[in-house]
Amino acid sequence: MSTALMPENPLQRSTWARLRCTPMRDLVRGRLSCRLDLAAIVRDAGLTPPVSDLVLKVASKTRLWRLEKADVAKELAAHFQDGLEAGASPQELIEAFGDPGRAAKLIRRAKKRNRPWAWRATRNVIRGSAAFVGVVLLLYALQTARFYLSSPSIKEDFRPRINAAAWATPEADRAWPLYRQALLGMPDPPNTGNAKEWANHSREPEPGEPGWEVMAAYLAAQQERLALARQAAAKPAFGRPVDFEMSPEDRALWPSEQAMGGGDFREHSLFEILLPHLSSMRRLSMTLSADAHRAAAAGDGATVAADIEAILGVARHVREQPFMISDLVAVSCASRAMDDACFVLDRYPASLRDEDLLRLAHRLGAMTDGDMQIRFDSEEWGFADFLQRAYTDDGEGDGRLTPAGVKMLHEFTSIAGTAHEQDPWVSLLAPGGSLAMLGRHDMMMEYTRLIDMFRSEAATPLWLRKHSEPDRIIEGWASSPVQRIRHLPLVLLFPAVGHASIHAQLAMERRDGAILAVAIELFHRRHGVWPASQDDLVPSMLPGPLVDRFDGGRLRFVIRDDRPVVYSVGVDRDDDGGRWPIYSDGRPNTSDVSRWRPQNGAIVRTRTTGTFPDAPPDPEDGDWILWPPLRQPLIMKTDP
Amino acid sequence: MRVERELMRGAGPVAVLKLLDRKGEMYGYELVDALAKQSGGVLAMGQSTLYPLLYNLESKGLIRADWRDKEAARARKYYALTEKGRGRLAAESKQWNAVAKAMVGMGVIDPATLGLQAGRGLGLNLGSARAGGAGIEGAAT
Repeated sequence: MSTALMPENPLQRSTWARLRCTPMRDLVRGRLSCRLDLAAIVRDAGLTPPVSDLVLKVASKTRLWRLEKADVAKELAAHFQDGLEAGASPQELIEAFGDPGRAAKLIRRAKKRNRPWAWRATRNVIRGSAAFVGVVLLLYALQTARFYLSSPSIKEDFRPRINAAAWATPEADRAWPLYRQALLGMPDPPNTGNAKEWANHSREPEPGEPGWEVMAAYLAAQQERLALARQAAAKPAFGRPVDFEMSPEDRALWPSEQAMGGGDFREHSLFEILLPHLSSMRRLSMTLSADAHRAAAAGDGATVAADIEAILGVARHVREQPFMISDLVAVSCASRAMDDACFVLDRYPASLRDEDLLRLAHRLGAMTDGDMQIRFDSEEWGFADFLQRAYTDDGEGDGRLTPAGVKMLHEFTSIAGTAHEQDPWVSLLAPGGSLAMLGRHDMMMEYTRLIDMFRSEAATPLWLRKHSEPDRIIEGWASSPVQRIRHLPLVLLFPAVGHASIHAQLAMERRDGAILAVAIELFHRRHGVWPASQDDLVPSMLPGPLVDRFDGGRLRFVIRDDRPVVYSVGVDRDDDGGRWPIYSDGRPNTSDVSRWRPQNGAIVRTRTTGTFPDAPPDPEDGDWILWPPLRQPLIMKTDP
Repeated sequence: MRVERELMRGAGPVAVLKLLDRKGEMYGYELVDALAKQSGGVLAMGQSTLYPLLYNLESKGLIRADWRDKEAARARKYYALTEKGRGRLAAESKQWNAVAKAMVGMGVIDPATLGLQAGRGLGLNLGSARAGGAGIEGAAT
């Protein structure tokens, strides 16, 4: 920049230019001194081009702070003044000076060493941080390449394990072909889905109630198919292998069910196994249940017993594949059978002959605790299958997460409703997340540890249990961001073992309540009086006393209004003489499953109970009445 | 004579420290002139080298700088030794003496070129701040 171009008079410069060349000290005192103006410094020294240009060039090129530049310019100007006074020519001085660019660089480097230690410390911290960030980014880039170049190695097909029982069943013993024949052409019962016929009813109508005629007409049309279903339910085994696709015969039953296409296990995970028979079997159990009600109203105890027995057969068959969902559907079907037995015994006891009652008692008693436990075998296989599809395989049981695994995990979170399209940030952060996540070996070890923990709990009587430890551990991981990432597959895929186990236990309690009710009724018919206690029923009616799973004592019963009331002490563990807890408005509190908690423990709202945390607590001072069933009056919504 | 940069890198700073020690305080042009004259041009350095050298010495606390008007002349930046600088100068002088002795012993340096008398020690007595003496003048010839 030539000094000739700058206005000589500082006042001729803009205010902004004057502000920029005034030191802070002068600004604070209210003076626009322009002492840092390099051109003015050079001019005041009396230097002319080319010497003044050299000084300005060097000072400007240093790219130092304004104060430092001014100091350099002043010193260089003084130097050249001394040289000129000593008789050297401007050209000699310029030549002796050296390379201006190099001079500016060296001056800058040296001047910066004179800056305050705080500035130097900050600079070093920034440099150190930048270097650290650079190293981290480089390492992350390497990890990203490693991550996106990895792929899983899918080796094991788990379908043989799942279908072992089905394939081992002789054709003649298989129930499924008969079920299929019964279900083909059988429309859904009116009490499923969008039952427009009963839209105004507060519950399903019973025989004799308004709306029942719809169900009665439906049942009348299905008697041949129901007979076939009963025949199927009596078969030793279900005999339906499951797969990613359906046989042509099954396709006829579910024409709209979308098959996965192709049977190659490398292309489909166990989660894609088709189980359309579960909903069909459940609907079949509802139809059999309605038929049992119809038969009871008609005084046909043999059909009642046959229908209930068939529902229990459906439950047994559904359990053949060891999926957790199959076991839950089986428990649901079995619970329906018990409810039907209790309903008929309550409303139509005369329809049941003694041999019908005995048949029911034996059939209900034949359903052991083991038959109603929720199993997790296929869940373990499913998790192992997920690991082989999500992780690499180092040949020793270990490996790291792959992009395929991230995709699967994202799909699981989408199913859970917490994510939709894959966020671009997921792709960017996945390589880092995979480092934070447990490796394949450790992940499987944790899964096995939790399942073993659960199995140990499941072997403990309900009245001695605490809250499920596996559920508590999973909840802990889910609530910590770091642990959630570290154990993400487990957080997403580990089943709600505690809740499922409690659900099964309470179904067993209802079974025992039904068995006790039937035994009491049989005793009464034989002896003309009600039994005083379970001791009167053992061993003639019961192999042994039935236990209340809430406190480990016996299931209770009282005789009220010449009728037995079978009950459990319920969650408060207090015998209230067979009476429901009552809300303030007089309604009985009949909920049971969500009320279980350990003795002396607080209610825990887990991820599966789904209760509203802000709702007032349900009344608990009362008992869980197992029999007679509580039937609310049918209310038509069009009634005033 | 052109001296290798690495040699200058070691010799330049100690020469500047010595000049300041002898003279008390000097300004930039004065230092340039003294370096050239007293070293016979061997340690002559351009201003593009001297001023960065001075700023480095200042950052190390070996010299200090002050802007002053002296004897009614215009303002100049004067440089002077600090106590730390004096200590560094003493230490460097010792090292240079040891190196010179070793080089004489090796035959690299001809004692005659240094003007040393036979029988006297090989020690080059660079003297105190004000002593003058053989010092750099002797070394430069």
